[in-house]
Formats: sequence, C-alpha cells, structure tokens
Amino acid sequence: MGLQMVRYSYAGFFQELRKELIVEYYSYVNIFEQKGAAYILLLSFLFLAILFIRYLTVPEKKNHNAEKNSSPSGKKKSFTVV
Amino acid sequence: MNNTAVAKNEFGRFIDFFIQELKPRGKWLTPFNVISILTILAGLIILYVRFTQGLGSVTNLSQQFPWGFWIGFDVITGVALAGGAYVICFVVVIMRLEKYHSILRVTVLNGFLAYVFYSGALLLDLGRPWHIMNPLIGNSFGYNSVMFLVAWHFFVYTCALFVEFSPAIAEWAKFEKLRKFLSGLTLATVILGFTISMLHQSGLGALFLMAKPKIHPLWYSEYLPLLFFVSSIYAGLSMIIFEGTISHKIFNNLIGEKTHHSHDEIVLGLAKGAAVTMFVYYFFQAFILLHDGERWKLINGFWGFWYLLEIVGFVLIPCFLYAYGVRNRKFAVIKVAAILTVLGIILNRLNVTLIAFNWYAVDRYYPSWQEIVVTLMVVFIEIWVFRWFVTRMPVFSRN
Repeated sequence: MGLQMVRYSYAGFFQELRKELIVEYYSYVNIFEQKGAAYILLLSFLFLAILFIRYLTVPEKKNHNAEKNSSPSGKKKSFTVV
Repeated sequence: MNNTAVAKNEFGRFIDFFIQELKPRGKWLTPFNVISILTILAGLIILYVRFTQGLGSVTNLSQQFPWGFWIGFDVITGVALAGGAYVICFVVVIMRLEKYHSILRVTVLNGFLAYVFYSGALLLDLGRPWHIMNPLIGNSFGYNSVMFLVAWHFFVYTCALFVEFSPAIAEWAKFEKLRKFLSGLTLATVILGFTISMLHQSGLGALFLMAKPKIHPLWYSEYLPLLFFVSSIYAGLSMIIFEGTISHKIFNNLIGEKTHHSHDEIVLGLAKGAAVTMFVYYFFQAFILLHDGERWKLINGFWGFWYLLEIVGFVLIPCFLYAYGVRNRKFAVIKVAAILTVLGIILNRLNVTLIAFNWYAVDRYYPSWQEIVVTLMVVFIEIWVFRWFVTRMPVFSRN
C-alpha cells in the first residue's frame, strides 16, 4: 500500500512537471484557424501573380509607341519629313 | 628559341606592360580622388590601431554585440548586393539570353570585387584573423557549423568569379591562347558559381538561425535562409541598374555603340525580373507573418511600424514602381525603384544583424566613427580598383 502511494505520488509529480513544462515552453497554435487564412493568401497570391505578370508584359503596340516617343533625338516620327 | 626563353620573354613583356598600365591616367585632383584618398589614409591609420591594440580600441563591439557594422554592412549586405553576378551569369550562360551579354563582364567584375573587398572585410572583424585559413587547410574544419559552409563557399565562389572574368584579363594582356583556354572554362565555373551562390546567400541567413532568442520575432523566421536567397536576387538586379546608370554616365566613352543602344532594353528586362522577385518575396513575408498567429500582435508599437516600413516602404512600393516603370518605359521611375530597393536591402540586413538583434538590450550598439570610416575606406578602395579595371581592360567595350 505504502509503495503504491509512493508510486502514485511520483507519477503525479512527473505529470505536474510535464504540464508545467508544456505551459512554459510550448504555445498552442490552432493550425485550423491559421490554415483558412493561409489558403486565402495563397489563392490571392496565385491570382495576383497572374495579373501582375500580365501587367508587366507590355503589349507590342504600346511598347513600340513608347519607344518612338522616347527616342534619343527627341523627334517623333510623325513629324519627320523623309 | 626554346619554350623557356619564349616564356621568359613573354613574362618580361607583361611586366613592362603592367607597370605602364599602373600609371595614372587623366586628371588627378578631382573631388572624388581627394575625398577618397583622405578617407583611405584615415582608414589605414585606424586599421593600424585595430591590429596593434585590438578590436575594442576602435569599435563599439562588446560581449553582447560581438558582430557590428563591419559584419552587418560590409559582409552581410555587401554579399547580398553582389548577387547580380550569379543572376546575370545564369541568365546569359545557362539560359542563353544574349540580350544581357554586354553587361556580363562588368557585372562579374563588380561581383568579384565585392566578394574580395566585402567578404575580405571579415578579416578586420576577426579577433585572430590568421585563423581564417583553418576551415580551408583542415586545421579545424567544423563540419557542423554554417560558418564552415560560408567560408568554403566564399572562397570557391571568389575563385569562380575570377575565372569567369579572367578571359578579359588575358585579352588585355594579349595572351590569346590563354584567353581561349579560359573562355572554355566559363560554362563549368558559371554552373559551379551559381550553385554555390544559391547556397551561401541562404547560408548567410542560416547563420542567424542559432540566434533565435536574440532577434526580434518579426525578423526571425525558420525561413531566413530562403528570404536571404530570394532577396539577394532582386538586390543584385537593382544594384546592376543602379551601378549601370552611374557607369553609363561616367564611363560613357568606354561603352560600345551597340551596348549603348541596348542599354534601355537591358534596364527594362532587369527591372521586370526585380519586380517579379520582389512580388514573390513580399508574399513570402506575408505567409510567414500569417503562419505564426502570434506575429500579428507584434505589428504594433515601434518595432511593428519599423517592420512595416521595411516591407511596405522598401519592398512593396519599389515593386510597384518597377512594374509601373516597365509598363510605361519610365526610366527615372525605375532608377528611383532601384535606389529604394538597395536601401531596403541595407535596412533589412542591418535589421537582422544589428538593429533588431538584442532588441531588448538596454545598452544598444551604435557603430563608432572609426567603424564607419573603415567601411568607407573599403568602398572607396573597391571603386578605385573597379575604375582601374574598366579603364584598362575590355570590360565595357565588348558588344
């Protein structure tokens, strides 16, 4: 009986110690709470990345016009007499 | 004439030629020369004191802050800004995008000098600098240390950059056979250099993984190596735009006509690359912030605003400026974006290494004036050497 009591108290002691350690060193993160937001962020990244790359891909016509306007001589082709 | 006599003759010719090339060209008394010479002299005096009386005599380093401005700015930031070399080498040699071929040599030279001087500045910060050979000669390999990886990678990558640039040196010295041989090594060294670069750029981030309790949680993350690697790509590209703009004005007469005309297209391509990488980096940061719910609570007070300034002000805004500049061919906007990005990288690296490091400490670390002068000395010497190379060797003129 006495031995059993000792065993119990040791077990109880270690259980308490473990709880304390858990409380002190681990913080519980609800991954399900985080995942929803992470999915939304991932989807928005994929969607925005397509839009962003489309925005960066300058259409040939616009590119050509801009190049004409930024020619080093500063003259627009429409004003040049050939 | 036998082979030995020919070699002796060639060597003698090269020495005469080299001595001729060492002589200065052009005007001597320019504001830049005067300021840089005075700074270099002051830096040398400070270094004499540092090596005779120890680190404590010229730096504000302490047991709490063992890494200061020399590591934070020279090594960590300098290496990130030199990232353009591996990106351009990969794009030109592996991807075969010939459009960027004209900036290959100057970018490799920049990268090589940055590694020699900025990672060389590590020697100044080591208490016993002669121990730097230990990881290389096997006296104390330290396989388990990230330092071991970084030391070997710095060494091998600097050698790889030298080999990549060496055809220009052989061309300058008129060693035609040697030039052909060295050109043949380019592909292998680029592959080696690119692989190593990816690893040590992230390795520099990995160095700080062991300092978890010391770095502010907004800057500390298990993904620091990934963040360091991705940010080094756009840092390097922005640095090429920034340096290219300056070089284009200063060394205008050295740039070939074809290169001159293609410069705008090159800048647009680099800006596009930087914009996409910054976009990805921004979302990485957002994921990391979201991944650990506790971080949201930290976006409050001084550190939170400081973090937002770095991420929004120096990542998101330059990213959109790049995109706008590329879309509308506004080169002034692209240049502003490049400057903001370079400042952002400096801020990010200093945040991780100095500002947000031991952020709770009562006695903060501020670099001493001697540390700043020595850093300026390193930068000025690099500019001098770069100027010497580009005015002597075929760095820009190749079309």
